[in-house]
Amino acid sequence: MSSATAPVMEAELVEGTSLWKDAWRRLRKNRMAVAGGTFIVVLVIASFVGPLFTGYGYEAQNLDYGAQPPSAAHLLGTDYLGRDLLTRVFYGTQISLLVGLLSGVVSLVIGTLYGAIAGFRGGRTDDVMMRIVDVLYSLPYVFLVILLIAAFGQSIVLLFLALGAVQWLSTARIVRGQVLSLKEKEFVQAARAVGTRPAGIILRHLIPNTLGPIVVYFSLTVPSVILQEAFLSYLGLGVQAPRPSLGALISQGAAHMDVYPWELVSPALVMAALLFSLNFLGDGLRDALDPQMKRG
Amino acid sequence: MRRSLVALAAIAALSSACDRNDAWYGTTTPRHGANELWLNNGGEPEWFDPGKCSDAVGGVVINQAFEGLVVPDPASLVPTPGMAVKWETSADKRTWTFHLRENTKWSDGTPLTSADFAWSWARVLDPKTLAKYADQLYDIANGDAYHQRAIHVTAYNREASALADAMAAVAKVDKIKPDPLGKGGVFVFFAEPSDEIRTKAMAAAKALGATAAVTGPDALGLSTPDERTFVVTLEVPVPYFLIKINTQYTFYPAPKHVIQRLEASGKSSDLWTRPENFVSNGAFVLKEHRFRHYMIFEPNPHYWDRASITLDRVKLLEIESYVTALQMYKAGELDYIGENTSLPSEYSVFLRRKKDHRFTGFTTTYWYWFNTNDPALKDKRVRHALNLATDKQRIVDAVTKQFQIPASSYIQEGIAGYKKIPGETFDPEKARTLLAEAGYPGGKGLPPVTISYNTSETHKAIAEAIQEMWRKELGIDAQIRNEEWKVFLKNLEQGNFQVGRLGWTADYPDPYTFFSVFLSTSNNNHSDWKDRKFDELVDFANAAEDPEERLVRLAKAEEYLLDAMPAMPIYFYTRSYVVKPYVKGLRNNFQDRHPWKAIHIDPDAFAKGEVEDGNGGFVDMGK
Amino acid sequence: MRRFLLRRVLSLIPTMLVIVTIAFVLVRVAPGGPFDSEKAIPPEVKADLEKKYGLDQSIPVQYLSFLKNAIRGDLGISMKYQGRTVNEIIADGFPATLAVGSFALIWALLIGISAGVIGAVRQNTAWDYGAMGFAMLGISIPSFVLGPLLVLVFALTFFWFPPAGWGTWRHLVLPGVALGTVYAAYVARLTRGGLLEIVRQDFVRTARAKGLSERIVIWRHVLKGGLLPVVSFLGPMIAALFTGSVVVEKIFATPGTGSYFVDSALNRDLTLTMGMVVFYSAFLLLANLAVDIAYGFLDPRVRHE
Repeated sequence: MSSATAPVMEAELVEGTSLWKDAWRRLRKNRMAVAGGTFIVVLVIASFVGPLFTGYGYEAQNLDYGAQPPSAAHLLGTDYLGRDLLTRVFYGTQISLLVGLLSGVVSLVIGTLYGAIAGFRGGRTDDVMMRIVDVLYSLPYVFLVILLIAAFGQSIVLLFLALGAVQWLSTARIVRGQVLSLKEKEFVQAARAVGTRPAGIILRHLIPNTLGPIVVYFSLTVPSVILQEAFLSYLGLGVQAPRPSLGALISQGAAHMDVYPWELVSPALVMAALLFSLNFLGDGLRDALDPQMKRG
Repeated sequence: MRRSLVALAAIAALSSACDRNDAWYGTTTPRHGANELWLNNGGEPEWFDPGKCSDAVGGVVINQAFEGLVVPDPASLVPTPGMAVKWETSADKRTWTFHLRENTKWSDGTPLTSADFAWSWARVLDPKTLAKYADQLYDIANGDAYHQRAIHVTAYNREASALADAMAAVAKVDKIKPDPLGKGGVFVFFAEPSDEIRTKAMAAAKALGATAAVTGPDALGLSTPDERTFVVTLEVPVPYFLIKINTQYTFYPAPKHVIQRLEASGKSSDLWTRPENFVSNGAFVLKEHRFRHYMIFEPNPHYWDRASITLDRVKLLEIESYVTALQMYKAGELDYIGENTSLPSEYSVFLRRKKDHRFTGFTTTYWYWFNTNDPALKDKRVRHALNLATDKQRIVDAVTKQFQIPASSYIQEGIAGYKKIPGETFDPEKARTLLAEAGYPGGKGLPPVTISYNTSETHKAIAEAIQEMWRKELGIDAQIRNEEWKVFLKNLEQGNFQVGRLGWTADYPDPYTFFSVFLSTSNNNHSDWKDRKFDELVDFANAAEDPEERLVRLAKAEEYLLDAMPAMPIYFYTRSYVVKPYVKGLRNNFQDRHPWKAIHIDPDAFAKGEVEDGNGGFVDMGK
Repeated sequence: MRRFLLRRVLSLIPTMLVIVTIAFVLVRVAPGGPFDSEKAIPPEVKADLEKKYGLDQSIPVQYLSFLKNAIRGDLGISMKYQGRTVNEIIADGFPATLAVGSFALIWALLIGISAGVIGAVRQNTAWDYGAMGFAMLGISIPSFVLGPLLVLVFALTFFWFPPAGWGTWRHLVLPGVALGTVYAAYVARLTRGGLLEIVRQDFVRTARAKGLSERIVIWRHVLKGGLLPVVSFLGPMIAALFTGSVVVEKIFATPGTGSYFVDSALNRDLTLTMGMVVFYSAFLLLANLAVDIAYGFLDPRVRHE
C-alpha cells in the first residue's frame, strides 16, 4: 500500500453512508428498476405535455369519420365517435396516474398515522386498534366499494376515497410493525428523555425511519389501484365519460376488439408498460431499501 | 413480451378480416336437429305470470306460452281469432261479446272456459295481486274501483251532497263515481287511501243508512253467460280495445286451477310458473328452466292449432351481454339473436354488410323530456330553439347507425294507420333567432343546462353529440350527466333534472298509448307540462265514431302538443337483428314479435339459395 | 392451535356483524327504490309492494328483523325476482361461480407454482427470465382483456371451445383461464421469491452437503417452507377470485352469482344484495380460516403460539 492510496481510503471512511444514500446507490445499479423509473417519468411528462401537440381534444367527436385505423392524421386511430385515440390515451394515462397516486396517498396517510399511533402506544390501544384492522381486513372490500359507487353514483372524489380505503390496512400493519421495533431504539429513548411530546416523536423520528417500507409498499399499491379502477370501469362504475382513463379505454376496446382492434391495442400496451415499470421500480426499491435482501 | 401482444392483436385483426369476406356472419347450417330453435331472450324475467309481468323479457315468454282472445297476425299485427273465434261489439262500443272456440284446453288437458278469462282479468285487478300493469285493465267497468279499493255505496236514498260531505269529512276525496253499469250506487275514491280511512268511510256511509263495502270483483263489468261466452262491459267506449287486448299480455289468461290448488295446499301460488307446475294455453309449454341460464319449451299437445307447429323444441337462452350473444350467434349457438337483444352499435356498420342482417320499424320513440318548471327551459321558444338546433338525421346516421328514423314528432307513421305529423326539422338559423327572441342572443345569459341520461354507451354517445350540436349552433355550454338507472328514474319522477332522456314504447299499437303520456293526469308526464286543452283534444278524439275521424282529431292534438314542445323527439326506433339463413317464418312487424309457431327450420335453405328476407321475399344470394 | 382456532371462529361473529351493518346502511341510504320503473306504477300498488317487504317500517326495525331472519337462515324474497327466495337464487347460481373459481384457483396454482419453481431452480437463466416475463405479463393484462382475446382465438378462430355459455367441461376452460391467469402470475413471483429465500438458508446447505439429490432437496425441504408465502396469499387470492368473477361471468354468460354483486345494488334489490353480502362474507371468512389452519400446519412457528 503506497501512501498515495491511504488518504483516499480515509476520505471514503470519513464520508460515511446513510441508509438513503446506500439505497440510492443500490437502486441505480438495478437496470430494470432504472428503466422502469425512467419510463414512468417520461410517461408522466408525455401524458401532460402530449395533448398540447396532438391538435385534438379528448372529447372532440367527428361522427362522420367514425372509427378509423391509425393514419397520418391520427397516429393511433380514432374510436367509434371519431375521437382521436392518441389524445385520449394521453388523458387516460393522466387520469389513471392521478387516481393511482391520489388513492395511494390517501391510503398512505391514513395507514401510516394509524399504524404509527398503534405501534407507539402499544398495550391495550395497540390491541384494540389492530383488532379493528383484523376485522376490517376480512371485509370483502371490493364488494363494498361496488356497493358504494352503485348506490351513490360516480364521482371522481368518491373513487379516490374508495380505492384508497381498500389499501390502508396493509400500510397500517407494516408501519405498526416497524414502529414497534423502532420504539426501543436509543434515539427514541433519547427523545423521550428530553421530553419530546409523543406527536413529535411520531412525526419527527418514527415515521421518517419507516419510510423505506412505506415507499416500497406505495410503489406496489399504485399498480394495484390502477387495475382496480380498470375493473370498476369495466363494470361501468369507474371514471365518468367523456373523461377517459386507461381502464375505461381498455374495457371499451376489449368489447369490440374484433372489429376495431386498434382501440384496444394502444391503451393496453401503455397500461402494460406502466404496470411493468411500476412493478420493476417497486421491486428495485424493495431490494435497495431492505438491507436483508441480497438478491445477488 | 410486448411483441407477442402485438402479434396476437394482429392475428385477431387478420382473422376477423378474413371473416369480412364472408357474406354471412358465422355458421350457415344448424348445429342442432331440424326441428329445434335456439334463440336469446336477453335476461331472466322478473315474472312470466301474465297477470304480474311488466317487463319485455317476461313478455316474450308469455307471448309464446299463452294466448289471449285474439292473436296478432305475424306480419300485419291485425287481430285474428285466438281463444275467441268471433266477437261483436255493441253500438256504443262499450260492450264486447267474445265467443270462445270449441274445446279449448289448458296444456294439462283441463278445459278452458270463459270463467278462466273472467277470473284472470279480475285477478289482475285484485289489489292483493300487486300487478304492476293493473291499470291497463282500467278500461273495464269499475276496474279502477276494485283495484284502488274504492268504497262501493249502495241502497242510498238521500241527497248526494250529504254523502259527499260525509266522505270529505273522513279524508280528502278524489272523486265519487256513479256506477257506469247502471246498477245504481256510487264508488268513492279517496286521494290517499288507507285501511283506516276505508273503515271510517264505511262507518260514515252506514250511519247515513246506506250499505257500504270495499269494492269487490262482482262489481266489475265482466260476465260469463255460459262456458263459451265472455262479455266485457267497458267504463267508457274504447275504440281501440280489440287492438289493446291483441298484444297486451296482461289480458292473457292464467291457470286458475293450478294457482288455486297451490294456495289450497299452503304453498306460495308464485310457484305455479316453475316447470313442474307450469300450465299454459298457448302454442308452447315450459319444460325446463335454469335460472338466468336458459328455458326449454315444447309444443302444447292441447293447443287448438297444434298441427301447424313444426318445431319440437325451443331453447331460450338468457345472455345479457350483447357482444357475448353476438359471438354465440356467430358460432352457431344461437339461430336468432332474439327480440330483446340489440346489436352492439359498434358492430352495426360491420354487420350491415352481412346477409343475415335485417331491420324492422319499431313502436318506440326516443325523446328528451324538458322540465318546463326549470328557469332555463320555461320559455317555449328556448325549447323550440334546442329542438331546431339538433340535427337528428346526423345522430341517426353517425351515432346510432341502425337505420333509425329521425323524428320531428312523437308518433310514428303507420301505427294503426296514423299519419305522421311533419313537425320542424333541423334549422339552426331559426333556432338562433328564437333563442335571441327569448332573450338569450348567442346563448348569452341562458342558465346552464344539463342533459341527464341513464348509464349506457348509446345514450352517452347521443348526449355527447347533442351537447356538441347545441354548443356549435347556439353557443350553449350544456353539461351531460350520467346516472344509474334507478337514480335516474327517481330524479325524473321528482323533477330533479333539466333535460332527461327517455324512450317510450307503445303498450299496444295505437297512437293513444303515446298521447296518454302527456296528459295532465299522467304519472309518466315528467315535463310537468299540464294543459287541460290538450286533455280535451284527446278526449274529443277518442269520442269519434269513425276510426278515420279519430285519427284526424288525434293528429290535431299532436300538433298542439308539438307546439308546446314538452319533450324533444329524436328518433323512432328500429330493430336490427341477425337471423340464420335456415330460419323461416320470421316476419318483420312493428312490434318485433315473432310467434314460434310460425317458424320452421330448413337446414338446406342456404344450399338451395332460398333464404327469406323477413318481408315476404327472398335474399339475393348473388352479391 | 386449538385456542388459536377458537379465537378465530369467535371473531367471525363481530366481523360478520360489522360487514352486514355497513352494507345494510349503504344500500338503504342510497337514493332510488326497488320499485321505481320507467312506467310509473300506481302509487298504492307501490305502497303495497313496499309493505310486503317491510320497507314501510323504520330502518332500525328493518335492520333488526333482517338480523332475526338471517340468523334463522331466511334471507327473504328477492325484490326483483319476486317469485324466488334469495336462498334459492344464490343456491342456483353459486355452483357455477364455485366451479369457475375453483378452476381458476387450480390453474393459478399449477401454472404459478411451476413457473416459480422453474424460475428459482434455473435462476438468472433464460428460463427464469421467461417465467418471470410471463408473470409480469399476466399481472398487466386484466381479465376483461384476456377473456375476449381468448374467445377470439380459441372459440371464434379455432372452434375448440364455445364462446360463452355453460353446461359442459368445455365451458369451464376459457373463463377459468381468463380469471386465473393474473393470479398465476402473482403466485409465480411469490413462489420464486419464497424458494430463493429458503434455498439460501442453512438447513438446505446442510441437506445438500449431506449429498441428497437435487430433487429430494427441492421437494422435501425447500418446497414446504418456500410455499408459505403462497399459502398466505391464498386468502386474498380466493377473495379476489370470487369478486373478480363478476367480470368473467358477464363476458362468458356464466349463470353464477358474480353478476349479482353489481346488478342487485343497481336494481336496489335490497334483499338479494344483503343476501349476497352475508353469503359471500361467510364464505370468504371461512375460506380465510381454512387457509390460516393450513398455514398453521405448514409453519411450525405459528403452531406454538
